[in-house]
Amino acid sequence: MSSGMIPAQPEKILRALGEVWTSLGEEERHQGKPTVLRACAMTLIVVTDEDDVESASATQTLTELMHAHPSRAIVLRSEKNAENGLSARVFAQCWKPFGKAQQICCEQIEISVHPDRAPDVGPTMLGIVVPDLPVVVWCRQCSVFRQSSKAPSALNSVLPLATKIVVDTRGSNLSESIGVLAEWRKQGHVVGDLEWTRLTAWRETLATAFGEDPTILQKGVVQSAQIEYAGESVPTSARYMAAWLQRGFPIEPSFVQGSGSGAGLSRVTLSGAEVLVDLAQTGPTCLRLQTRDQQRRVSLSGSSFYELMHEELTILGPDPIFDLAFHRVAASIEGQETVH
Amino acid sequence: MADASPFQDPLRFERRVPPCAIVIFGANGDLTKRKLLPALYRLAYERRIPQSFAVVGNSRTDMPDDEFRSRMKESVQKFIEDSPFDESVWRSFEQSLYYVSGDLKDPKCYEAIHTKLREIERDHQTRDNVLYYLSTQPSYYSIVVDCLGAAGMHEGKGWRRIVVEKPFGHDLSSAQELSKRIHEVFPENEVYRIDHYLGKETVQNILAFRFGNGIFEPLWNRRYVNNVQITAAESIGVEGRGSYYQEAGALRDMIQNHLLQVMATVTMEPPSFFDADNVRDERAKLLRAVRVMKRDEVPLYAVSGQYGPARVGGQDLPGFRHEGGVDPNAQTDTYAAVTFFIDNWRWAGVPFYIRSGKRMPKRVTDIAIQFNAPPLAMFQQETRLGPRSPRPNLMVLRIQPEEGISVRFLSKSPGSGMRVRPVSMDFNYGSSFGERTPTAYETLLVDAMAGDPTLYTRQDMVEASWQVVEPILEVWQNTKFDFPNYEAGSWGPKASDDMLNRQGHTWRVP
Repeated sequence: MSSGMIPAQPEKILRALGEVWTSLGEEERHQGKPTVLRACAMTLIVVTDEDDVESASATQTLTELMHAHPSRAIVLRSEKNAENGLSARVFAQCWKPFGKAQQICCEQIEISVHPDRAPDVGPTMLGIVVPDLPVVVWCRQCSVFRQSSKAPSALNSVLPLATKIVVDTRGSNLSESIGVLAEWRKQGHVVGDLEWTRLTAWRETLATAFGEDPTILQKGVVQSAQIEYAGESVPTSARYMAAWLQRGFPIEPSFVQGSGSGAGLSRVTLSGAEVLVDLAQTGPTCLRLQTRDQQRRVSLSGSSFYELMHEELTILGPDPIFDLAFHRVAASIEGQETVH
Repeated sequence: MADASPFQDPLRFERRVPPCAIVIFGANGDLTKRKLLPALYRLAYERRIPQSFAVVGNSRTDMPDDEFRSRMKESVQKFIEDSPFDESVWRSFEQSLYYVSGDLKDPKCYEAIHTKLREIERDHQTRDNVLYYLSTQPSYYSIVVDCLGAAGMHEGKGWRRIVVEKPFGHDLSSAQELSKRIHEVFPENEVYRIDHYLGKETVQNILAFRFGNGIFEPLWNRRYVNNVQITAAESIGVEGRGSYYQEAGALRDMIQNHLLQVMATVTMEPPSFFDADNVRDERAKLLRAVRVMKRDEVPLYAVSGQYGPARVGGQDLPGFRHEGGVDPNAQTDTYAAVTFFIDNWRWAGVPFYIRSGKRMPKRVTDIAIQFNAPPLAMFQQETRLGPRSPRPNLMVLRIQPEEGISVRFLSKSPGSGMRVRPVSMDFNYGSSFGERTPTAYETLLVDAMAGDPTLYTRQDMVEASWQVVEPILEVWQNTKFDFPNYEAGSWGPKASDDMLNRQGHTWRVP
């Protein structure tokens, strides 16, 4: 059930959505019983552009996310060959939950915008976000960390609406990306970074190991922490990990470049005279935890965009553990810049 | 309980099962097959069960581990709810299933289980943490606990906990006696009395709804609430549990435990902090405030019923007395309805009508909060029988099957004239959270293994709820009822309607 391309004006989009629902309701009347349930818990705006080489998979991710986070999903794509400068298409995403007869349907709106028409996006978005529900902006534009946050862009026009902004700082320049995030946070936005989300399995495994042997947490027992990463420079995830470890260990972790392929964290080693906790990635979805007493493998689940976003969408308010880690990373970068 | 480690992140970390072994007494029974194993399998499917985990099943039937695994596989495939069965997950999970046969009265049975637990600790590194699960007939609870104590299995290097299924006694004194026997071996903080209703997501949601929102709590009291109706209806009969059920009855089986706990959840004061002790303190306080009836008040405020045969949907349904294993003259209540009053400042004078029955028109559990009518009836409501005074606002908390919350209010009917009609504003749990919700047993098993008793009942709560139903039980025990008094497929006996009519109320049709 989909409309054709229409001008991206709020009343036209809302009318097209109304027609989609009327048409789904027709089917229901033919069947003589409720077959469609309209669901919406938030507005989820995905901001993307032509540089987003994985935008097709992002759309697929969005479809999967609808099951756990039914939303009015709006894909806002900035592209140089956008038809009519600013146009939209609306349709419904429906699925049938396991073992149920009734379909659950969510609305999806795709808006393509020529970069020159970016300032026009704001009023359109203002008219089509679902009232009274949270607005989450998933920013997939890598360029966001390269340009001034004040330059007109599709993203800037939706930021004022956002309850939460989710970005991925992987591969970006650390000080620039942390700077942009800090600016957004200063403006009062809740910000999520998928580089932090990728650490959940790591952190959870380490927290479990610390819980199983509480002596590790005793003062002075852990004397050094080493964080190994793959890639050319220290990734944000490694910085976040260091900041998180400092919650319980008053030591300065060191960063070591490893030989692994890809980018991101590859190993965390905590050691002291009496303890060893070594957590290493041994495969695309596998971690190995080595302590003095045991060795075990842990699934590194949660690394697909679906899993990462699913986790972020469950936390729409403040996230104190991330906030503290972010604050430490931002402060350390600021300190480094001051020294230089 | 969650520890105070600076590394815990409750917003993001799933509550996981710590290394441990579960010993299920009564592993060949219905509860294990229908609920416990499917729940454990589902936790394994979600990777919430560690490698250092094992289950030891026990019952009298002699069988090797392989046969136990094969039987459990059949049960999981048959009874898993809203979830597919994954063969590869099962193959890995079944490696942690073991079986030890033996008579629960025979000390050798416990020696064998003890030996098996030591082997498991060696092979699975369960850290000597053991959860005992009493899924046997209630008459065996004390015996198992005594034997565990005698065999020294109640203590070790790791923790020991014991989960006790309802019924916790069959009256106040037997509940106290059972508790005394259990406490001789396990301290109260190691005893987990399971009431699976408290593990249901939607029952937990009542707390979120009440204490997470600011707009409802001001209405939640005697000034605005007229009456509350709690219904737990089943469309099925006793389904092969005739011999158990005729000893229990609806009052003991449902109201004394599940529904009084639900009522306490709906009516308790806000805890000052959301943790096990504070939440359970408030529940217990509420249950102690429920008025205990005098014997002569019982006929006015409690109704007993039993279903008779009927033809429903072209199918002949037997009466209770014709069900297998049931005494043809049984005086068992397959339906019970009680009016409770809560003697505290918040609820004084508000009737709480609770009913539960078998062979009702449909399976439904809900809580309907009926608010007072507006002081002036300015508008007429359109009904089939012509204009009437409007029906007051109603809020329904639906526990099953379509979990959610509805609010009924009046709206102007389109057209000329000022006629109003009720409309409903619905929140559907399933469509707002498309995710599969965990079953009550998944939640409660993880909680017990993680050491969080928030959703488990405490001895003082059990005793308080026995105290309020005991006068009813005593009067009913000494009454010869003219059963059957309602037809299968109906909403219960006429006396139940009369009970509400005397207060100027009527049962709503769920």
